[in-house]
Amino acid sequence: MESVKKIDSLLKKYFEGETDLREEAQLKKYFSSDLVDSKHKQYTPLFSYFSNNEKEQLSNAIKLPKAKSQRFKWMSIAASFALMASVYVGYSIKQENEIKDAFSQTQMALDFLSGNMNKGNQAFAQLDKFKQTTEIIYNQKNK
Amino acid sequence: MLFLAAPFLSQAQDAFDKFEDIDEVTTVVVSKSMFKLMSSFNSDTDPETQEYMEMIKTIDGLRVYITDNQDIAREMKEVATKYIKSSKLTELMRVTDKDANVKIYVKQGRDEDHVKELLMFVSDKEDKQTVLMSLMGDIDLNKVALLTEKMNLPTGGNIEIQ
Repeated sequence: MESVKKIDSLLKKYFEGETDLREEAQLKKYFSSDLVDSKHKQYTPLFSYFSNNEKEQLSNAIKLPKAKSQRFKWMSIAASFALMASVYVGYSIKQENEIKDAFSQTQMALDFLSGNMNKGNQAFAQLDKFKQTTEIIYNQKNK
Repeated sequence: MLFLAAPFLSQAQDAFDKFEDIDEVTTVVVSKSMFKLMSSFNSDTDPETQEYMEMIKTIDGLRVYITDNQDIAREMKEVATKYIKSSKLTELMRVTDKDANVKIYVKQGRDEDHVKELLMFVSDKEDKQTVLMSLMGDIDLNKVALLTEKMNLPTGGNIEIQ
């Protein structure tokens, strides 16, 4: 490690903008070590800041495409809701038609049954007429 | 006891099932769940439809088998006769006229007006068509007859009944 005096002269050179890359590297190394002298301590952030700056990666670039994918995400959610709604409506209509079909079939079957049950009625109606006719004749005869 | 009765209760469905797959047989089957859906689907308010709706609420199942084929008709009659015997159905009525033979069998329900089950067998002489119909539920026979009774008012004229 450089002596304190050496660091002093290096620092002086640095602030005059006269240090070369190697000397700057030396300063950086010194300030990132644990052996920073008390009177140099005030300059530590300077050199650690710079070293951090060098390490800085472009993480900003990733943010841009994310805004686009957000929009796409919402659109696809909206689209899937619309699809679900249309499937539900389609199914409801189908079910309604099936119920209507079943109803008309049932109605026809019941009418058929009912009609057959009442088949005797016309015959009885004729019988009734016959009865009326004979009553009249009979009554007339007895007068 | 209930375990033994259970397969017996669904016999109507099984006995005639085989006719459903035959090409020359037209089959209509309306299930219990469909009857439930129908009865809750009350949108019409005209009195005539209402009558049918009321009826539908009392029905659990409907099966109709129709055929022109004489051989199948014969088999249907055999199966029906066997079924009537095994289920102990009683003859409600039979009508024979120039058009058809109609036989209706029932299983009595909670009172004289109601039947748990109804089986109708129709042989149409003219069209050579045979119809087998099975109804199950808590059916009021009077109400069924009423559905078409208006058409059969004795006017002395010639009314075409079905």
